[in-house]
Parts: sequence; C-alpha cells; structure tokens
Amino acid sequence: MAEWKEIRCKRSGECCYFLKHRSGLPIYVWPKRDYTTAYAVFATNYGAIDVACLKGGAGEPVLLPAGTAHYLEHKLFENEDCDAFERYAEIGANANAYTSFDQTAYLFTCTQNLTESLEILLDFVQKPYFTEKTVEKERGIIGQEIRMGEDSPFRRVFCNMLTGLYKEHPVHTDIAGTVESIAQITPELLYSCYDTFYNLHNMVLAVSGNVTCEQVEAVADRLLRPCEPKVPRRAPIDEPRESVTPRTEVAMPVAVPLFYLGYKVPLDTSQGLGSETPEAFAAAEVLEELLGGRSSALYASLMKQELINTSFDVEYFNGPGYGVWIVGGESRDPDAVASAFRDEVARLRREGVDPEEFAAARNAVYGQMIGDLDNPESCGDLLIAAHMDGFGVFDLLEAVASLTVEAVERRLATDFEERASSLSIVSPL
Amino acid sequence: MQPTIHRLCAGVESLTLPDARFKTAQITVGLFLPLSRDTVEEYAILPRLLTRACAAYPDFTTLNRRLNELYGASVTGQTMRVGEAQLLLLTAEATADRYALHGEAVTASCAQLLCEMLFRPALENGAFRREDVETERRCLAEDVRAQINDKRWYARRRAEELLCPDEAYGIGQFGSAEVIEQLTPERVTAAWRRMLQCATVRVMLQSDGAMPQVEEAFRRGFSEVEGRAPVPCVTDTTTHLPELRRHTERMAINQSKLVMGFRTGCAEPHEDVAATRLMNAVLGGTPSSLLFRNVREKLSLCYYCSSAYDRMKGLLLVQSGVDEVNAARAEEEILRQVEALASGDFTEDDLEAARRCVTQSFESVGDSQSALAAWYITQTLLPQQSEPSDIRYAVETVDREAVIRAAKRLRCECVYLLAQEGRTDG
Repeated sequence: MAEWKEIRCKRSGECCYFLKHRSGLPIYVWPKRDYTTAYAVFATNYGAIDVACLKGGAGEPVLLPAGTAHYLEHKLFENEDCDAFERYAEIGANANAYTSFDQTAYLFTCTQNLTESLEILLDFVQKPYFTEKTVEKERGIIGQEIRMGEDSPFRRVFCNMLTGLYKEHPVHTDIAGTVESIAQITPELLYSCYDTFYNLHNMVLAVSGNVTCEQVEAVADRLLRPCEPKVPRRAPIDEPRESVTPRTEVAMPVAVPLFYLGYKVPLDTSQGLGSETPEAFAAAEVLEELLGGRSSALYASLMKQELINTSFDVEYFNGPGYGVWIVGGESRDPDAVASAFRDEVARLRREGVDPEEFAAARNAVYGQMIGDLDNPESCGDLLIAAHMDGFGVFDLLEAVASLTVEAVERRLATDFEERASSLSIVSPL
Repeated sequence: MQPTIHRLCAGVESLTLPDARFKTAQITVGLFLPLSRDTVEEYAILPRLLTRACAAYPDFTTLNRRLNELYGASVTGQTMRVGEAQLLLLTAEATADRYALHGEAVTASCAQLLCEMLFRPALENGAFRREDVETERRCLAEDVRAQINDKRWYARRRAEELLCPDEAYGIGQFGSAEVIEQLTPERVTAAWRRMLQCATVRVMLQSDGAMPQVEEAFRRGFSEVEGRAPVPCVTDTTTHLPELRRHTERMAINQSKLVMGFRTGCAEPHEDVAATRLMNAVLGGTPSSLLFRNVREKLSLCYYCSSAYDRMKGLLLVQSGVDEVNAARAEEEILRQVEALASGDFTEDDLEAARRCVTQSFESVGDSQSALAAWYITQTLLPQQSEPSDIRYAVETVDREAVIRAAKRLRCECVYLLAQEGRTDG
C-alpha cells in the first residue's frame, strides 16, 4: 500500500487521509466508524466560468458556447456500451452529478457494493463517448431543463443580479446556457473540452463514510490511467470595480416581489483566479450571521416593519475570482430593504461589531460546522471544497475557532461599496 | 440501534435512540391533529408562534442569548401533513453534552426550553401577543402565496386539490392565505389550548445521555394540561372520484407541468404497502425506472418524469416537466408504462434494480439524525412500529406477482396541466 498522509482535527476528533495517487489524482478518504453509507465524489476543476478550451486538449484556444461544461456532464454518463445510471442501478447505488460555476462533480451514495460503485465512477468518467447522434439526443432534454430554469423566479433574480454586477468575469453567464448557445455544441467540441479539463492532475476524488483507504486504493490502482501533468490555469480577468447596472427589475408570476441585492467584492484577479484565505472565508461566514442572522438587529427591525419574511437571508457567494454578498428574500418593498441594509452596514462600520454578538455568531457558525461533520455527505463535500480552494480540510474550522472581531471588521470595511452593488428584483405580473 | 418507547401519559410517548456517533443531540416533538378545514390555519401558525418566544424568554434578544448559552442551539417549528393528520413539529438541536466546555447539561436544558415554548408561551392578558400573531400570520400567508414561485411544487399541490376535492388531504398542511390573514390572537390561543388537549404526541430524543430528565419534563408538562383527551387521527383511504377529472391552468411560463394522480388502493397498514412501494420504484421512483428511461431518455419528451407514492393516503402522483405540444404524448406514454407494469411487461433487471435502490435507501436512514426523526415521528399513528430494517426485509421479499398486483390496482383519477398562457386548450 502507498503511504497515506493522516489529517487529524483535534477539536472534533475527526481524522481523514490523503494520497497523491501515482496516476496524478489527489485522493481523500474519510472513514467514519459505525456508518452504513459511503459517499464518493469525483470532481474536475472545470465549470461554467471556464469559457475556453484547447483544441484537441493541446492546440489553439477555442471559445466555448455557454452551457458546455453542463452539457459535457450530461453526456459523460453515456459510454459506448451502456449508460452509467444503468450500471449503478444494477448494484443499487444512488448516483448523481452537478455542474457549478467552477467545478463538475460526479457522485454516488451506497450502502453495499462500494468497490463496484467506485469502479463504475472511475471507469465512466475516464471514458468519454460522444457521437453526433448521442449529442443531438441530449439537446432536447437539456433544452427542457433550460426552459424549466427560465420559469424559476429564484434563478432569474440570481442571474440578473450577477449580470448586473459583473462585466468581464464569466460568472454572469448561466450554467446551463441558452437554447441557442447549446445548439452550437458538437462532439468534437466536447472531446476538446474533455481533453483539456478532465486530466487526473486537475481532478480530485473524495470518499467518506463506510470506507477504508485500502478499498479506494485498490480500485484506483486498477482503474486510473496515468496522464501527463497538465493543469489548465484560469487566465487573469480585468474586472472593473463598478457594477454594470445598479438595478434591474423584471415581472414574472410570483406572489410577493423577490429581490437579491448584490455587492461585488474587490478581489485581485490580475494574476489569475485564485481563492481567498481560510481566515477571510471564516470572517465572511460569521459576518453573514451578524448582518442577517435570525438574532441580528437588522432582521428584527425589518421584521417589525413588515419589510421581510422568513425567506430573508444574507449570504456570501464566491469562487475563483469572484465574491458576492447577497442580501435576498421576499419583500413588498425591496428598495426599502436595500436602504435599511446600507444603513446597517454604515452603523456597524461606525460603531464597530459588538464583541458579545461577535462571540455568539462565531459560536453558532462553529456549532453548525461541527454538526456537519456527522454527515458523510457533508464530509465528502468539505474535502472537495477544501481541495479546490487549496486549503487543508480542517483549516476553515480552525479559522472560525480562532477568528477575531478585527478580521470581520476588515471585511465590513472593504466589501460593501455602493458603486459595486446591484439590486435585482422579480416583481409580480 | 433499537429505540425504546415509553408511554408518558395519555396519548404521549417518548422514543429514545441513544447514539454516540453524533456530535449533536436532537429533540423532536411531533404533535398530530386531525387535518380539517375548520382548524388547519390556526394550527399551522402554532409552530412558528411557539418557537419565536416564550414566557421565560419573551423576545428575540433574550431567547437568542439563551440559545447561544446552549452552544448555538437552534429551535425550529414546522407544519407538515402525514396522511390526513396535521403534524406540528418542534425541533431542538444542540451540541452533545460531551462537547460542552464546562460539563453543562445542554440536552436537558434544550428539552426544558422546548417545554417552556410548548406549555408556557409568551401571553398577554391570557392570549398570544397581538404583535407576534400579526408577524407570524403575515409570514405564513406570504409563504403560502409564495408556493407559486416553485412551479413544480405548485402543480403538485393543485393536482392534490383536484384529486381530493372533498377529502381533508386536499387542504394541504397550511390552508389558505386569506384565512391565515384573518387569524386573531384569541382564536390562535384557543387553538393552542386545544392542541395541548387533543394532540397525539411523540417526543423523540437522539442523544448520548439525559434521557430520563427529558422524558420527565414532557411527562409533567402534558400531565398538567387540563381536560387532556387525545383525538384520533384517521385517514380516509377508500374514497374514489366517480370519473377522471381534468384541469388545465394557464400562466406566463415556458415549461408546462403535467401531473397525473392515481389511487393505489393500498395505504398503511395494508399488507401490500411494501409491494406498492416497490411498484412505484419500478415505475418512476429511480433514474433507471420505466418512466425515466422511456418518457425522458428514449423519447426525450421531458426533463423529468417521476412518480411518488404516499403510503399514508394511498396516492401515487406522476410528475413531469414537458413542452405543452408534447403533453398529450407524455400522458399517453405514462399510461402505457403503467399498463406495461400491470401486464407484467417489465424485466427481471427492472425489478431488481428498483428493489436494490429501495432497500439501500432504508439502510442509510440510520446515518442521519433528521432521517431517523422523520422515520420514527411519521410512524406515531401506525398500529405497528417498524424499523428501517423491517421495511427493507419486506421489500426484499416482495415477488414479481405482488408488484403486478399493485400496478393493476392503479387507477388514474386526475390529470392536471399547468400550461403556457396564450395558447388554446385542447
């Protein structure tokens, strides 16, 4: 057996293992005693924000139509001889996949036949099979998925906010693309994309729950084919500080207006699209609680004024080269909520964050993170997220535990600039 | 791990499940009441109202300070529907006692807090405070109105109404926004007192200690309720519509939603529930099901096409997202698949794949506290209690003939279509 590196967390008593497999694939295993379920995720560092690939995986750059990463995810499930869903079904595993802005992930949960399920996962993701016929067939299905998304006011309010904020960064394009953009996708394009991004060095495997390192390594040794160490780099983007538009409003069949007030966070993207530090992340998590948590002053005051309901939330949303504060929910008067939020940020900047409230918010975040460690799926997702962000698995937990009020105040001082904001509203017809 | 069930007093029992794997303790109080048009709204608001404050912690600030003292504990209130019972749920979650820094009894304190909320709410002159009621009824009414935002959810709700016009099931768990907006503090207070008297209650504890104190707190609370007389919750599982009901509703949308409502003729505690579960999985419960493979994959008629079985009420709903021009074809194809199932026209592989999928889902219940709570709370009203492993075994032993028999009982009674505005019917 190869030498696995042990990663231990004193605070939680949890322990997981890492191996850089000889094929080039980074592998994490998080065994959880007395659990029945195993959860596995095989992900590539490639998502909707990656708008160009190399022809044939090595030639000149080719621009990708919006929705390509998502289309590729759908098509990868189909191999030459059969469909991966059918293979999983034969052994009872529950499989799924998703495409986000910055990654594509293939996953399953199972309570039996872990080895066989892992074999299927590693096998089909390494065996692309795209023909004119199969690519054409998927167009109808994805077209329906896009149309379904168009009917979702949540998706609309979110996309309009991103379009209102970002001018250059591709995070403003819809993950699934449009019916028009996916019409341009061909088998050759999918192969070029695959060869550019589905390189084991650019991917990661995480397995958690009822699993051992030996089990995973044995399957990895059998199925992973070593590949050249090529990791595509995300090119720098010159994103202006200002938002594109301060306000957008569209009408849809909704009962109460939905709104997202977004603030574009200043990130240095001149050298490429990296991640923020664990401390900056932790500060954002705690600041979410302080600004919009159920015990925050703003929540109580807006509730009293009947300006929000329980859908109100403040969230930090980020990825390579983008970071957005989202203040969202339903309101009869979104502009009044936006104005109250601005006042609250100004008040906190002026008066500083109350140390007692800070400690309470930090405890709440910490308690939630500890609780998440009970769930094999959250553990697997944590492994993938930490790896993609370039952190250690428990760095974020540690950063929350040792967070200072100053770190939160630093974010408060830099993150909320009016010129970098955009209010998106979906109002009733 | 086997749970222990204790009767605390009339119609109130505790179910304890000690589990040292979890770092969190969870206490869930499930209160079951008959679902009725007369009371649905006034009960639906109670979980929100009870968890926002109580006499001991009368406002946001004092309550949250208390929760923070309990290591960031959380208390949530939810309203659900189980068959034709309305289920009011109060859940407290907190760090397990062994993670408390100074040996505090966090779990017992959380139970005490839940009891305060349930038995001693924040009242003023004998009624819930006007301001609290006004806020919560506004939020609840807005939530009910916001159901239209999720078209898939909305279409399902409308199909249930179409399928069960004269049955309590058709009301849903919240009732109507118009009635909610008219709720008064007096009416809600009377509903709270009635809830304490009439509800069938199960308190579920998942923790590694503190069980006896928690049980005692709830036993005392319910024993002190004057005039306590639990009312049985009965679900009507025999009604049928005289003929197929069809309804098309138009809205400014891009993708139509087709929902077909079937009666299965089999609800708890019928002996064929396991067979019907498995039949549902073969038909449309998994990504390898007949509906997924044929309606979505083979014919590319839709983005999703799946079925769900409500074993408490004995209904099966097939849901699909389609382009309106394909709706009739999708409907035809769905009926063809039901027909195929009933005539035994499915392979051994179809059956076994569905069986594995269902049995594995029961095996994983034990790995999640919320799945365990849902499992054991839902069973409160059933005459016989079962473990996830019992159901797994039951599904493992269902034979092909039983699946065919279950499919033969399916009867399509409604077809609901949520369609694009600006087109003509038919």
